[in-house]
Amino acid sequence: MREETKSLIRRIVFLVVTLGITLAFMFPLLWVILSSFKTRLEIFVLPPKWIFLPTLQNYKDILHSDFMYQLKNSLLVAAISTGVSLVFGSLTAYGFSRYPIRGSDNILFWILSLRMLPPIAVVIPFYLLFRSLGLLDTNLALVLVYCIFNISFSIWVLKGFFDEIPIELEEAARLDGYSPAQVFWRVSLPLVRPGLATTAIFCLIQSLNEFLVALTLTTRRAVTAPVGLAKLQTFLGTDWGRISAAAVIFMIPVVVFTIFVRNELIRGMSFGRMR
Amino acid sequence: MSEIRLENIQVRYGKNVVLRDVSFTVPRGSLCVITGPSGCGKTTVLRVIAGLTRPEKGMVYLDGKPALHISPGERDVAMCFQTFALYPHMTVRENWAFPLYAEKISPQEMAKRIEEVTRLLHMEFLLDRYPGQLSGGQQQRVALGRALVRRPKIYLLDEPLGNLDAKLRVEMRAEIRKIQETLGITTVYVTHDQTEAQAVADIMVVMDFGEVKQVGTPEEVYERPANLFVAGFIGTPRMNFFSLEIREEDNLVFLASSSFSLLVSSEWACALRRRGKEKVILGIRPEDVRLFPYPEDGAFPATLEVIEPQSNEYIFTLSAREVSLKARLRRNALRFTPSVGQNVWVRFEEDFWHLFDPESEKRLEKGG
Repeated sequence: MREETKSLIRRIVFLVVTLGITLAFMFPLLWVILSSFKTRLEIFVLPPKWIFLPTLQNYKDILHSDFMYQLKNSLLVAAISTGVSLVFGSLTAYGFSRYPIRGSDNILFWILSLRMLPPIAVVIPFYLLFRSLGLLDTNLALVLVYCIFNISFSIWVLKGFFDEIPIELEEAARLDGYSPAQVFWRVSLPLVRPGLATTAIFCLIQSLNEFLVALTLTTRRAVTAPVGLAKLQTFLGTDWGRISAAAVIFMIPVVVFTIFVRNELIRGMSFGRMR
Repeated sequence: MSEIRLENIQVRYGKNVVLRDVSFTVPRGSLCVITGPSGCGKTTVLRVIAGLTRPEKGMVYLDGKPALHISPGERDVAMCFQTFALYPHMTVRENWAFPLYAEKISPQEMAKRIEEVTRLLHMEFLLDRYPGQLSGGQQQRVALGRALVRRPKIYLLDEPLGNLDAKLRVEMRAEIRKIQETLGITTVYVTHDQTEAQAVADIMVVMDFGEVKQVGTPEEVYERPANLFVAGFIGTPRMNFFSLEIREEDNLVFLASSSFSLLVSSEWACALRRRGKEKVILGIRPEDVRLFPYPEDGAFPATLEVIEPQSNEYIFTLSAREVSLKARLRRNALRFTPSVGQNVWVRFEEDFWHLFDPESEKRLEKGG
């Protein structure tokens, strides 16, 4: 009896603490979601109102603004750069993982170092470069820049996953009569699916969130959602209701994609055992 | 169904020489067992035959034709890996079907083969499981099955039964032997278990430290081990070895130690004299040691130190002054009840002697 109450108390304390931590982290998110349903006045009322009549006006405004076009730009750029990064990343990582390459450690470090560059240091050169190429304010420019960051990241993450696959598996497949390309496609690639999911999520988030390069290289046609969001702060004042609504809409694609690959992701993080 | 011939194969991993001058031939359709202590290069030999490891020197002939340039996939070899190497993202059935897809076999034939293997390996209820959901022994059977569903020219089996329990192991080794004989597929079988080796082999290759120590039928390897290593490796308990001096008194030759001395027959005496050696190593298998409860002709006294009763036999550890030795005797052949500390008389009969040169460690023969 005594023991039971003890364990009950322990469970309650555990629940309260975890709930508290979760709330602390979720609070800004909650605030944004609530604000997106409030009127301009309600947002600034003190103390804040927790119960109110929700309005969809903010969403109506946003859906009929440029923001949807910018969101489309964002998604397009993010999807293409993620896709390209996965294709080149997995092929390159496989090559580094499976074939002896002279100086592979140095090459890998060089690849990683591309990612270490602070974006602020390269954004001006990028601007000049893309201006002379005539690619300013195009989606292509952003795709190219994001690929630089994402491919190097994919190579590193995926190399780790390919290294985990026992070489005997591939040897077995070769003895079973498959060509090296078939072995890659039918044995190695399916086994790094968790790695592909993890890489895809990180690339996607990175590309969607990127602000500095997008701000510098775009003016109108290729403006992305984060830049568009920032531009909602005008000299006439900031419409927090609409910004909140835009932020909520902006979150949806990542959430949906994450739910989609959730199972793979969990396996990816625990580095599923293979043998 | 092809003949495998290895000639002077040398393999190095970095600075380590893993295989040194390995040569042997596996005749078409026979089963060759490679045995030896772990780390002696058994698996590497299989990898060389499969084409997964390229030897630094030497040549592999398959059916008499040089095969080094042929890729693993084209050698038509099925291999069962010691580490299983099962495809974790495929069920048992898919694992078995995978090599058959590559061979473009008709679906009916594929279903038939998989059914056969399922029955053979007792995997009826496990076909739709993933390897991760199986126990070690079951995974091993899947690995074996993936080789046995195929009808290649060569089977390479690397410790195919190592993780199975004793009963299944005995059953499976008989099954492997049966399949191999029916299909007549040349097979190279690696095991460190010498009982298993002797049970299935047409020819045995005994290896140590990357070298072939002896090639022969199981009987030859047991009855006439070519050197000290093979003599000590094959047989349990291990063969007893004694380092003896060759002495001559009154034209009679004796093999002597501080504990006992053995009279040598004239045939052996000739052979030993011709060699002009002073020392020789005598090996005698525990099962060939004769024991008497009373003094006998040519027997020397010893004390029973340890008695290990087995199913129908005893394993004795005996000591005679400085030396100790093991004896294995059938219970019904023993005409007394043994007890620890008892004095017994030991006789080594000359028919069972194995004599070795202490320097070269090679076997000495009467004739040579």
